[in-house]
Amino acid sequence: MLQALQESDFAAWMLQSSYGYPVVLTLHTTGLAVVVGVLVLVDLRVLGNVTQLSLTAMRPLMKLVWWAFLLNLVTGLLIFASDAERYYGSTNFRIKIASVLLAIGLAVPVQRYLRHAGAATADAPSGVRLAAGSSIGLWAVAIVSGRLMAYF
Amino acid sequence: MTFTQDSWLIVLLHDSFAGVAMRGIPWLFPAFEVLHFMGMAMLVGAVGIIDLRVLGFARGLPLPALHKFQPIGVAGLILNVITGIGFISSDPLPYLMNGAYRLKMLLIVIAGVNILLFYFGLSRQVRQLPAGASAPLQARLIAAASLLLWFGVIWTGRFIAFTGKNTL
Repeated sequence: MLQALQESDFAAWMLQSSYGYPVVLTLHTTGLAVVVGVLVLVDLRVLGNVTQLSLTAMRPLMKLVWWAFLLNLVTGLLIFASDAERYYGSTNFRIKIASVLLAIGLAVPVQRYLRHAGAATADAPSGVRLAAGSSIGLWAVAIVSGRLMAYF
Repeated sequence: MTFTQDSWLIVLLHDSFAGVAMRGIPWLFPAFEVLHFMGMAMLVGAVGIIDLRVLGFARGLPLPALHKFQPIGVAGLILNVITGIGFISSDPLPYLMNGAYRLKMLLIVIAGVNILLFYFGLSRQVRQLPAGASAPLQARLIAAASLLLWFGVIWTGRFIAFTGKNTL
């Protein structure tokens, strides 16, 4: 299946067209900046920083994060399809996918906390804090492994 | 403006400590790329959240509190200036002659002026916008320009690799 994917007309277009791969990769980088840049700020708030920001008022930011994540899911699949066998066999690719799945999964309890905490001023429960803290670390791992996929 | 291998700026960057280190240590360039991407997310996140709020998104967030994230944006900027100088010093001529690179530098300068406009050209009330309040048109224009400029910096930066300079 991987072979069929990378021998498809789409894969050929991605790799040979002078703008296919550059445009898709640029969109993927833009999505990364939004997902990680915004989500880390939400995580920091949940960890107890800048408590003047109401948790409820931060909720629209999560919508933005999910849209940017969708962009990167789509562009990521397109990039994967262009050279499926190489990516599938890459250790960095596997580390990246594992860290991204874990990190975006941890956004769910963080988002649920924003929804239910209301005007709470007390510290977030330790489980939610753990999710927010791990999220920051896992996105860092995702950036390291994603960037290094270009080399190994 | 054109440069050759003998231009003083090219020689200065190429022979600098940064240039020697970037060429001599194989893992340094990829490590700097990782840091450059992290710095990008920090800068765009911290600046973008203020721009979005000024434009009326997530209106419940007061601007003075969002300004507390500024150190993250400043740290991202410093990280990216340092790593950026590393990249160009490794092989200065192709970068300085690259159209995407030049446009990126121009956009960064304009984005910098735009930030100064926001902090020195607007009234204190706008900079201290409380939760729920709307920003005036002038502030919205600056915020919209800021978002476009910083995304433009990402796009032109990405295209350096596709327009001659063969970085990965």
